[in-house]
Formats: sequence, structure tokens, C-alpha cells
Amino acid sequence: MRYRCYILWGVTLWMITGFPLVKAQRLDPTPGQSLFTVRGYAHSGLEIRKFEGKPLNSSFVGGSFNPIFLWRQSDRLLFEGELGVAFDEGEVTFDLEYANVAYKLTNRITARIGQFLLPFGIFVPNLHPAWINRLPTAPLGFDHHNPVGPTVDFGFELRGAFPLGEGRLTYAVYVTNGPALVAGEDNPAEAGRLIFSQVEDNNRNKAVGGRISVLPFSNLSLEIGLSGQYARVGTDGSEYEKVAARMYSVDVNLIRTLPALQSVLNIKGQYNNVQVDRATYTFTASGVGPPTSLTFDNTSWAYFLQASLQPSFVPHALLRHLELVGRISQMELAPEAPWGTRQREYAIGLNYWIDWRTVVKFSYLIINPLEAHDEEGEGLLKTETVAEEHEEGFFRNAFMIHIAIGF
Amino acid sequence: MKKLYMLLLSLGVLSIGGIGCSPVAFRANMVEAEQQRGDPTPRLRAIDTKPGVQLWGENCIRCHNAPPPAAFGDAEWEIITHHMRVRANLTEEEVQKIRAFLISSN
Repeated sequence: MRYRCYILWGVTLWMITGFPLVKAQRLDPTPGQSLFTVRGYAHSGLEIRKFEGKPLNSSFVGGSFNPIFLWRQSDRLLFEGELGVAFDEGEVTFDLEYANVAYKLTNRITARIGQFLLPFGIFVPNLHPAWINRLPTAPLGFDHHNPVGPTVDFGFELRGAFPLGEGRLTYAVYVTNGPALVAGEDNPAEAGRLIFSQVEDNNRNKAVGGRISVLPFSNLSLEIGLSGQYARVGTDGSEYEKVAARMYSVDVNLIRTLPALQSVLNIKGQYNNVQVDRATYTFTASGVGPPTSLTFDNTSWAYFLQASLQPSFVPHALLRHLELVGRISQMELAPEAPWGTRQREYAIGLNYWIDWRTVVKFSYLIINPLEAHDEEGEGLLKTETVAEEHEEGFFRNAFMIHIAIGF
Repeated sequence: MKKLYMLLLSLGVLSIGGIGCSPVAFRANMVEAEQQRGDPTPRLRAIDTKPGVQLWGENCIRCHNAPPPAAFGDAEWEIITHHMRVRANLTEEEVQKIRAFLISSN
């Protein structure tokens, strides 16, 4: 009897509240403002590499799979997040590339909060996806392994764009956790290096930075950008808490149609520079013996210059899908540091675009390490370089066939 | 040095806020000034005269191949153009024209 009473109350309650709501939904089928989609990119390929003194190495590489989740709650609010799923050194790795919320305050100001790609140049925020990058690899100094300059961080940003004369001006200013300085007590070989993208800030100081760019022509064919960031990088309470880093970048992007060649020419370039205050790093080499002090000029830089030519207007269908690309990049990581290195890369490639977002890349890369220290950090206080130890130096080159798809 | 960076950042934010929060007033003042000078027709910016198809071609190709309108449906274009406005720092005028072109042509 009691249960029948509860059932009766439940049905009555539903009829009072739920039924009218269901009826309202049936009469109002207009879709809401909330929209969701998954986009992203993936790439894989075959790489044939030649290391000095070693046999030719040939391997299919898994590349990566990067889904991008986009949720548009309204015409003002957007959430974006990207995962990086890759097979690296025998295991599957998951990486959160970015995740943030963007809210349009006005037509000229959008606020973003969360983890976002920093507006430091153009390669990382705009050109790194596999189907957009014209070559299978990132330029030296612009990848996750040895970045020269900030790439992604947690913080708050304001960004936007204005019509300026016949063209446009864009801006972005932000406050983020900033990079952290490696003191080297546990790992002397890394002393003085910066770790970009901390999950938890190592000090109360926040990095401030931004980018401003100008597109002066009405056809938006040229963009010139200037970026900068300042941050204190030492851990609070340590002897390095006042050590600061100053970073800047200059970038250029030019698109030109060449009627004589019935082609489109694209030139992109970027120069990054990172200067860390001079500091003395004290540690005990190999954990025994008297302490050792190391001081060096902690300046690193990297640049790339890339040109591509696509005969988009020729009558031959096959030729229209081809693209010739060439790139030179170089990086110098604090030459006097234990992790210091100088490398230069030459890359040339021929791409075949299956469609607007699917490309097969045939590329040949030559990487010439100009100076390096061994992995154990030995030779810490020596000035001789690998090039001196090997009279002919050593070259590292690779032939790659990669397929990349944006979806 | 940090104080200089903070000062520049603050000036930049204030300038952006002052201009950005009143785009209509800024534009109206320009038009009014030109009318007072006796110009019968306010000078139009390039953005005002370009059709959506032209803006779509000029903006997309700066990073990647321009996606054809038929690549996505209306709802997806709503999201993608919103995402691109933030990612590529496009102006609101450009995005509205590009979106209208893509949705009308897919």
C-alpha cells in the first residue's frame, strides 16, 4: 500500500513538472546555440636516417594523432582543447597541448584563460600542425625537445585585431606562469637551462609578454610580427630567485602570386632570442669531491627561413597538386653551457597535396651539429668541441616520406 | 627592467581597451570629421568593400590551404570560424563576411 502511494506521488510530480517540459521541447525544435565538433590532425611515415659511423637506419614511425575539441557555447564563448597521442620510444604518450576558454568581450578584445599556445612568433601558434607544416619536422629550436623561447603556458591573455589603414593590426598580451630555471644541483648537465610550460609556478613572479603584428597591404600578403616576454625564472627562496629571462622574436610571413610561373610563393621566417641573467651554478660533479662553480653567458637563439612554391594556376592537374619547399634553420644553445649546442639544418622537400588538407611529403634533411657536449655532461669545463675531437665533424641526414591529414 | 615591461604592458592594455571598447564611436567620429570637411562620401576601408570570398582566400592561405565551403556543414562553419577568429586574430568584420560566404556556398 505504501509503495503504491509513492508511485502515485511520483507520477503526479512528473505530470506536474516533466510532462509540460517534454511538451515544450516538442513544440520548440529550434537547435540551441551550443555547438560541438572534433577536428585535428595526424601524421605518420617512413624515415631513413644516416648517423656517422653507423649503418643506415630505416623505420616506419607512428607519428602522432592530435584531436582538437571545440565547443562553442554561444557567439561569445568558445572552449578549445587539443590532445597529443604519440608512440614514443616504445610506449604510448598522452600530452595536453592546450585547453582554454575564450570569451569575446568586444569586437576588438577576446579574453582567454587556461593553457594556450603563446603568441611568441608564428610557428608554434599557427604553423606547427602536421598538415600545415610543409616539412615533416619542426625547425631547429622550434620543437618540444629543445625549444628556444616559450611555446605553451598557463595564464590569462587578451587578444584581438583592428583594421589599420588598408590592412590590419593584431595584438596579444598575456600573463602566465613563465619558465623555470634549472639550478643543477641534481643534474649539473642541465644547470642554467629553462623549463618552459610549468604546471605549477616555481615562484610568485609571473611572466608578462605579448605580440604585435602589422599586415600593411590590403591583400594581407605580408605580415611582420614582434614578440617579447619577461620573467623571473629562479625558484623563490633560492639563490637564483632574482635571475630573470628576456625573450624576443621577430617573424615574417609573405604570400605572393607569381604570374610568370603561374604559382604561389610563400616565404616564412622567424628569429627567437632568449637571454638569461648571468648566474653562478654550484654543484658537485658526479656527487663526490669538492663543489664546482660554473658561470657562462646564458644566451640562446634560433631561426628558420622557409620558402615554398606551388604551381596552383598551371593547366596540368598533377602539377597543380605539387609543392616545392626549402628550409634552413639554425640554433645555438648557450655554447659555454654544459647543454650548449650549435646545429644547422638544411631541408628540401616535394609535397603532393591529395586534397586541401591531406599531403604526402618527400623530404631530405641534413643536420650538421656544429658543437655539442656528450650526454653525461663530461667536458663540463672544457672548451674543446666535438668538431675538434672529430677532425671531419659529423653529419646527420635523413630521407623522409610522411603523410599528414587535417580533419 | 620588469617595471618597464609592466608599464608598457599596462599602457598597451589601456590603449587597447580605450579603442577596443568603442569601435562604433571611433568610426562615427571619423565619418563625422570627413563629412565636416565636405567629403560627400566617407572613405571606405578595404575591409568594408571586400566580399567574403576574397577575405576567405586572403586570410586562410596565410597559414594553410583554404578549405572549400563544401568541406563542412553550417554548424561546423559556425564553430570553425569562431575558432579561427581567436586563433588567427581576425577582425570581427572579416569573420562575419567569411562565415556568411561559407554557409551560403556550402
